[in-house]
Amino acid sequence: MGKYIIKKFILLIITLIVTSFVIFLIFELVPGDPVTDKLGTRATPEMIESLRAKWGLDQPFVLRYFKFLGGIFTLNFGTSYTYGISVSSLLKEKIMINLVMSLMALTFVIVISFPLGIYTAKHTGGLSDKIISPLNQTAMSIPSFVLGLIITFLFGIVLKWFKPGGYVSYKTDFFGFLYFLIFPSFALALPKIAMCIRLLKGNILEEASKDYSTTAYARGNNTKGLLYRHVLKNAAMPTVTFIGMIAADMICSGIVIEQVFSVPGLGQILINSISTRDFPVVEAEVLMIALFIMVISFITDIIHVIIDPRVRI
Amino acid sequence: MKKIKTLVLFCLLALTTVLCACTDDKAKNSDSITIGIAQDIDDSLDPHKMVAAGTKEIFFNVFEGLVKPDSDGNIVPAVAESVEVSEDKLCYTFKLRNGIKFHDGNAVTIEDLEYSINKFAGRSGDEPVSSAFLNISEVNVVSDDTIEIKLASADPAFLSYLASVESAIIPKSNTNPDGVCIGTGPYKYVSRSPLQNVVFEKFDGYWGEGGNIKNVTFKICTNPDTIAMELEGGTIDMCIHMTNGQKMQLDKEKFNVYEGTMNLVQALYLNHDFEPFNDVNVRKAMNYAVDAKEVMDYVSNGSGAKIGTSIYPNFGKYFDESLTSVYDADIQKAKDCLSKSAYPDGFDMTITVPSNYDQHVDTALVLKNQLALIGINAEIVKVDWDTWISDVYLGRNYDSTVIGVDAANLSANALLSRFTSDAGDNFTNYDNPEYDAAFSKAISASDDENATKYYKECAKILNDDAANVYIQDLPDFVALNKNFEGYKFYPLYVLDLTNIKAVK
Repeated sequence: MGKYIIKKFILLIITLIVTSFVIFLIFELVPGDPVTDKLGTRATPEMIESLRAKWGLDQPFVLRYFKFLGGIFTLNFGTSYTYGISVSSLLKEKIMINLVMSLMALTFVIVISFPLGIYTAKHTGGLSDKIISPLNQTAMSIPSFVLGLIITFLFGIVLKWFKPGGYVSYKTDFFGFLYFLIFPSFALALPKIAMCIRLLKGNILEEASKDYSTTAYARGNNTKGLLYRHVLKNAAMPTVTFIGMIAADMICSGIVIEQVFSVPGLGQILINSISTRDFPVVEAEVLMIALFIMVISFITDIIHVIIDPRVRI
Repeated sequence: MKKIKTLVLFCLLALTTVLCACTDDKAKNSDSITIGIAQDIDDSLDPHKMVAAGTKEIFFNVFEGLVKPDSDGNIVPAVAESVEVSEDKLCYTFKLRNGIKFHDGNAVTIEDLEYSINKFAGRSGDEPVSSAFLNISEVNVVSDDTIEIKLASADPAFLSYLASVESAIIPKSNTNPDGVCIGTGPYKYVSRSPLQNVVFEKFDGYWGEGGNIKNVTFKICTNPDTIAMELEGGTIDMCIHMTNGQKMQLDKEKFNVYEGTMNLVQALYLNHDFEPFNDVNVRKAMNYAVDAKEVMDYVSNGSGAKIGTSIYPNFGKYFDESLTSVYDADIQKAKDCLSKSAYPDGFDMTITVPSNYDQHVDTALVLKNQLALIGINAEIVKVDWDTWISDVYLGRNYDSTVIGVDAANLSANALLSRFTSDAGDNFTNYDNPEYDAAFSKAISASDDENATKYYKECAKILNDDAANVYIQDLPDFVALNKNFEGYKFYPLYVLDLTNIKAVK
């Protein structure tokens, strides 16, 4: 296990370094310049020159990259060009928003998809299956931003359960913050819920048709006993992997959902920083997302090891 | 099992009722207003370093110069109580307003005035906020409440430069103006949160009448598609610079929509260094081919104001109505002009537009079709704002571009100076000795009447010479919830909060 973790850790560092270099390179190649963006239409050559020097942009590419890399290892991501405050303080609140939103969405996925998946598997071909399956299909095929607009319209305008775009900071009102995030989280979760239900149902049915299930029946198990004691454990495996993938994807899908619900999260600041060429912010954030995805896949691997002894060998 | 179900249902019901009640309470609070703005306020908090028009627009409420503009375009005293101009128009004497205070409670002193003037005029090391301030030869403190500014040469528009946010008076004691925001305006700055909001609060120690609403929050609404929903849902009470499409989504029972103009000169700006555009016949042909009315119909359902030159209608005395109809659309005339040029069968060109401005992109689409009628094949290139600034505006590396140019202050100089051949911001590379001569006469005119005459001559030259394809001053829509009233348009790009009040 220890060796496994060390191996993963080294892989993580290498990936991060490669990612950081790629972003650095891309920013070097795309047209546009943070200095001219900051100075806008008032820029004069002298002002451009002096700001460039102030931000260290007049130094050669390689030197700047190594300086930046050194910064990462001391957890200093520098200062945002646009806002003039440190990148870490800028991203702190945003991380909180996306973390809460992702966790909430993940909870929705687990709490809703497992019972429903098992239920539809148990009653395949029944009335409930006939209702849930098409609904599932629909939820999967609607793009999340359309879903977001539908939810905003239904719960925000018609039912008035929340104010569209009425995000409140957790610093001012923590419960208001949680309450508002329920809706974007749900929009984020719905397509994933649909996928999970389908996956779980398929797996359960597949496992139930295997030989060991027949044996279990022969040993005197009833359907309920078979399902919970034998089939579910095996059927849940791919779903756990899938949920791991979903968790990693939450931040990325969140970017679209944030736009629809006007949540000032990581996605908005990322898009904004790219358009203003606010390089320190983009670099820090992309690295963070990469790190997040890798940590999640790491955790998924560990959970796998725990519930499936075969992986350990 | 049944019991649990009932319990869950009951809890949900209770929760819904409670939460619905919460939403209602907040909506009735008339002490606060939330205003939706489209762009993030990411500028410096130092007024002398503010760049984005959207930043200066709202900080108009926080900062004041020695003088400031009113809603009719007059220049009225602000931090200075009165101003005297000498006979030779070279010496301006300002008397400090008695008892005026900064937002931190300290009185404004003559040292603060001296410090601010030297700072924004570029006399203490920084770049001047406007090249017009290079004309200042001396700044002298005369007494505890009097300061005089001497000019090297007379400039009738001098006071209008002092009336902009960029020439604000700030305290000398503030060592970090970039991050700490202290002014003298009717509202004081409280906080900002990137991509989320900017919060202002009414300043009780204001010298004038001040605002009516205590708390003002500017909510950053970067997604144009959700603005109407946020207004309907009550998240924002007001939204400035709405498009025609957004306006149409609103419920007329709940909102008042004010219509004005954006105070911009929208045109197809031509790079005069690009081969066909150095030919006046080509430029005239394009002017005849373009139908501004059709652009307005398509982009904003017919709203907007025709211009004809680099002056927009709100500039009152400088605006010449007759210039708007010189190039009324006439395909035959356009073809005749083009046949006199070296390109009788047309040519290929590109129109570079910043993709974040829908109005300009839509305009470019109409222009492409109109120009095709006389054989000019225009290709539209969409770029992001940052690329536009560096390649088009600063790099001048483009054929033509659709953009709106605004005025930093109420002088015609602000709109016309960029077309002189040696201007640093002459992004069209316009070079016309006749224009340069008229412009230099305008800025050196001893009185306003003469200056106006020459500025009008400049505007006419731009029209005669078909310097660019002038289109319109774009329409501007402001939606205000009927719980509030009193929005007023200015002839400049500013939002004055003091006029807005709650309806009792």
